[in-house]
Amino acid sequence: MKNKISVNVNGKQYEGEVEGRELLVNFLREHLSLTGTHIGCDTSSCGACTIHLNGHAVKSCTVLAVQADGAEVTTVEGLATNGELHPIQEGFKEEHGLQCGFCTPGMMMTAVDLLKSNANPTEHEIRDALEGNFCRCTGYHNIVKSIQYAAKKMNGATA
Amino acid sequence: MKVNGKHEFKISREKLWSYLMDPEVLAKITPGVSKLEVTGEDQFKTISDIKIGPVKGSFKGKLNVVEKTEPESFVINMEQHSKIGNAHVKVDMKIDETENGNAALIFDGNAKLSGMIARTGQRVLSGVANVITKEVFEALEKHIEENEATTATESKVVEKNEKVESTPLHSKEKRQEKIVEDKLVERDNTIVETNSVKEKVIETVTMPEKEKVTSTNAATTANESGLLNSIANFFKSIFGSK
Amino acid sequence: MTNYIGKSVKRVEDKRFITGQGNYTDDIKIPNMVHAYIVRSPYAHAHVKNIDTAEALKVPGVVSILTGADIPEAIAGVPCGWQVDFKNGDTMKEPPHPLLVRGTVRHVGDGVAVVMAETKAIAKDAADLIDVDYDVLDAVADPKKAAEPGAPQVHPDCPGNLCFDWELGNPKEEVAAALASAHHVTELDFVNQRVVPNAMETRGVVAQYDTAYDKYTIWTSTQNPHLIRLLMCAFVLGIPEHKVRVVGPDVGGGFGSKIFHYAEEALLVWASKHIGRPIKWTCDRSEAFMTDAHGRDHNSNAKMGFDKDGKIVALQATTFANLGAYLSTFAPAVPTYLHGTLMQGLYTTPKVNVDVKAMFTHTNAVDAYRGAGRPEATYLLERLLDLAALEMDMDPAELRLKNFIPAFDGVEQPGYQTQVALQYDSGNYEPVLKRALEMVGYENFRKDQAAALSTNKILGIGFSTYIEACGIAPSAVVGALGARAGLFESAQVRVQPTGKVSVYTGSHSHGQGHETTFAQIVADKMGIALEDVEIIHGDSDSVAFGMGTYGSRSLAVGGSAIVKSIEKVLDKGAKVAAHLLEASVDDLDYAEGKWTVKGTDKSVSFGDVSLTAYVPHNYPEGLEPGLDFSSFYDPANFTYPFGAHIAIVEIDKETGATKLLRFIAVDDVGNVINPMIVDGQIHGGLAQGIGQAMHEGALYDDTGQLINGSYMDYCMPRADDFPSFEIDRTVTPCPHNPLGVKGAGEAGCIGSTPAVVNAVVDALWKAGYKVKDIPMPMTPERVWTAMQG
Repeated sequence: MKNKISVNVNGKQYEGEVEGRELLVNFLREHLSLTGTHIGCDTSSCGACTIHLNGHAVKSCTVLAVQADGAEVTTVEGLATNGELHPIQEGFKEEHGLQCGFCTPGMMMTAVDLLKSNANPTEHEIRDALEGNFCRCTGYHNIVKSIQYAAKKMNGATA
Repeated sequence: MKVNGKHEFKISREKLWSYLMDPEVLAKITPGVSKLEVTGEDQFKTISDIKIGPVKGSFKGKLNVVEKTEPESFVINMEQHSKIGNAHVKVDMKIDETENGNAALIFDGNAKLSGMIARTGQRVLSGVANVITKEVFEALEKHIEENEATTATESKVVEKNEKVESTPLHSKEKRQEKIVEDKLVERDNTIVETNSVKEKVIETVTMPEKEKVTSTNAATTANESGLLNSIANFFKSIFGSK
Repeated sequence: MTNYIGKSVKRVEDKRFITGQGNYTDDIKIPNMVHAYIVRSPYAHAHVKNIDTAEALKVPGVVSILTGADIPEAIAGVPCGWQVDFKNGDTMKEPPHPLLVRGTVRHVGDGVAVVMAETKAIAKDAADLIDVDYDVLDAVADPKKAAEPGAPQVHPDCPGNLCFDWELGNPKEEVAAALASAHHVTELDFVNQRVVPNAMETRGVVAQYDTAYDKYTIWTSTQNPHLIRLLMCAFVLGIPEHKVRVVGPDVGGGFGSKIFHYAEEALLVWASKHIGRPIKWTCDRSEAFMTDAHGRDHNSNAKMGFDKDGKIVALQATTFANLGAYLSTFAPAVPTYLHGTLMQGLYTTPKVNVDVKAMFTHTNAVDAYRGAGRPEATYLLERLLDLAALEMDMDPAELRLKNFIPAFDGVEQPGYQTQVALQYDSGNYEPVLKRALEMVGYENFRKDQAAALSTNKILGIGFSTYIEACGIAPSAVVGALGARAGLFESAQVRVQPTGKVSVYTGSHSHGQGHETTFAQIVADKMGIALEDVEIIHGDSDSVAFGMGTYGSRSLAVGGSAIVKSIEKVLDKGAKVAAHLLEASVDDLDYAEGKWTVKGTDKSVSFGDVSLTAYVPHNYPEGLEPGLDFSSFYDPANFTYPFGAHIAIVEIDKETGATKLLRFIAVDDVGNVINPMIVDGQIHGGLAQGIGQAMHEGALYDDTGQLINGSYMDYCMPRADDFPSFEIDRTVTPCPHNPLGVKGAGEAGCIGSTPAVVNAVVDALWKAGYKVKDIPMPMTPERVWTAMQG
């Protein structure tokens, strides 16, 4: 049976018909062609599919598409505003926080959520926050630095 | 995966034997079976309709009772097939007579798992099996109690020596749990002493390890815990039914 | 002059990845495309008696279901790219590896049927309804057990499950004699456990057959598109090579596992024509655990003899290597030519013998995984050295310094000839260790360690000084060693009329940053802006035949090919410039993007020369128009990076929980083009090497079941498992390639693993537990158990 849903994704309203069992990540990738959100596992472990649902980071493979009905979703495609990179995007580029780029969207979405609740995280707090996101390329070293870069930049901007 | 232990019943060996040879009782105490359909002497088709997470399924299997030496011992061979995996189980059942004339059922089984249940969560399943085994014998006791109105039914688990299989690898949460567990359990033996510890292990793994990135509780069942629930349910089907 | 080389230029490719515009295989959509799902064996070894697809075919949306019986006999199995012979000269055993099984499954995950449907969900639903009747057989998963008499046989024509046996180095008797007369012999039995590569993007394939052009296109998550095309066309499907286009789009990490030609690639290409629709297959993670070629899995015994001064006198290494059920593309090379040849290490050991038995088992294939053979060799050597130091009560750093090969630059001093076939190109080993000791504050650490003995948290330090052979590889040499392909690299530098430059490289980037590093080389050597250079890779229709990326070869081999093409462009450009300037070529200098007549201010820019080459109205007589050159570079030797890694760990005596407190790595990878990218490569390698030591390991039970085939069961290293790494480097240029570079992709992974294990053993030993080995991964339980004696 198909269910009608209406979701605001990156500021744009979308209507769609989905199966009850369809995952949000599938809806984003297959229905909306927003392929920046990646699927890296089948056990909700790797965090590659992390997005923001009503302002909070969630793994979009643990949310059914029907649960997102009426919600606001932000994906990696919605991070930059008016062509200007979000500080976290800038941080990942400046500090070489990505290599193959596959985990990167999820990492950034998790990081943005962290910086919302903790504007000045310590290295330990950053590493702790990244526990649900796997990266196989960087050894996490430069991801930590990228998030520190973004924290610094965002604090500078708001100060 | 090994399951073994001992359970004492306050009835005679012969009586226990007759209970165990009753297909209805056998169905009750045999891993993974809700109904037995007789297909030959000591040969049964097993039927179990089980709801596993979001999927309802009918599980096919067969069960043979072999090497019968009344009233001392028999062997159960069983196969179960399902979408999320298969189990080939062999259980040696031995009925000893205790000093006070009661029957002591000693079981020693080995389950060979394959499919998804083999590679996902298998090492926590021996803990699940242990809990379920206890439930199985409680059910049998209850059944005997109902049938032997005059017989005392204060049987109890006198020994449970199911060794937790060595688990050299732990995923992160299990590693951390192991540390806690190690503190709880006496370090110089590998026998898990209490059910609470085992249940804790299961519970810990079932819960998403971190709330940092998670979704609503309902959504979580869609994937991670859904999978584990499926496995736990499946395992219930393998090792006992209510 | 040098504006880019040696600078940490920010990566060009990042923009698309950080904005979610990467184009990975699963992102590709083609109209009318169907989705494939592969039914895989749940058993390690079984006869397939019957496959009933009737119910599955009734599911609405199912397009086709194919089994091994549907694939024409003429389609051979997946070939192996490397041949290693038995000691007696017999050819290695090379059993068939069909695209879908025909009769017998040989490992959990072996492909039994493929379901193609309108959506992946439908394909999965239908797959659940396929009834496969298996007759389950005994299986063997352990390489040593596979060699025992009576072990279950993986292939009927491979007696004793032996693929080949192999030996390298000095005669065994000479090594045995040297060990017998040694002052001290350190001996260790150990397992270098199987690990799962776990690139974050799982493998995927999209295949399309175009009837109009009679041409196939396949997008596949691969590290080397051309090799896939060659193997698939020539050895599997028998399709003319020019009728297949292979594209490796953005690839989300490989670490070796995406070098190889997999059955799914050929299966989808064939099926796309068979069913007349494009097909996509994306591997699930749990499927990846079962089918991506795994790494390591050696079971070894090693003996190292020392004289009374601590000089190594001999090494005997004996290894059972697990190859899995089928031979993957490079599998035979890993335990042999990438492993045995590194047993000299950095040391002057005069007698070395390596003996390898390569075994078939009922497990997934094992092949090259980051480092491939070299980590196993390094682990063996470096574990022995630290253990020997403990046993002889010597300092592990001193012991190494005593045994290092003296410095040689490969120019003034010749390369170093080892006992195990290789000639090292250049090396200067003391400085890396001394720098690492300085960074760690060695003397102070030993004081801290002594002080910690009275507490509950004991400390340990572990060393590893490694050498590796990369920049793979001189074709003639590897040909003699059994490679069935050359290992050169191609590069085309195409100057556009406006002076902008497109570079086509046969290397493939899946995270290494080629689009930046290669552009730095081109921009510098041509004196133009980085923005004026574009690097194109991964498409067999546009790039000349190349060999792809693995074995830390892209810069040393692919980069050198680019340099060769640049030289050709500049040579021809000089002729055009000389014509325009009415001067002789010999009188011109090229710098900053222009040719200048020496001693004058007369010059012509690169852009003007390019335009002239394509608009040749005023042009040198006899010179062809255009400015576009290809080169193929075949290296003269491997390159030999080296380094010193030090781990410091803290162990909780009550629980065995081990924390990595610090990790110091000083690596020498030759000249460095982009330090930021090299550092990143080292970081990633360290994490994988440390991951193997502390967390990871694929477990097969004795029925051949992979019992930790998911991220809930297999422990992937996470951010909070690591400290920030402390890294530095020395520079010993490679003497035989034009850039002087050696390779950095695998170094971190090769050196780090033994350092961590050595640190744990050191901690235990100093605290009074004389433990020789902790099996990897060193879980708290294993460390705790070791402390119980």
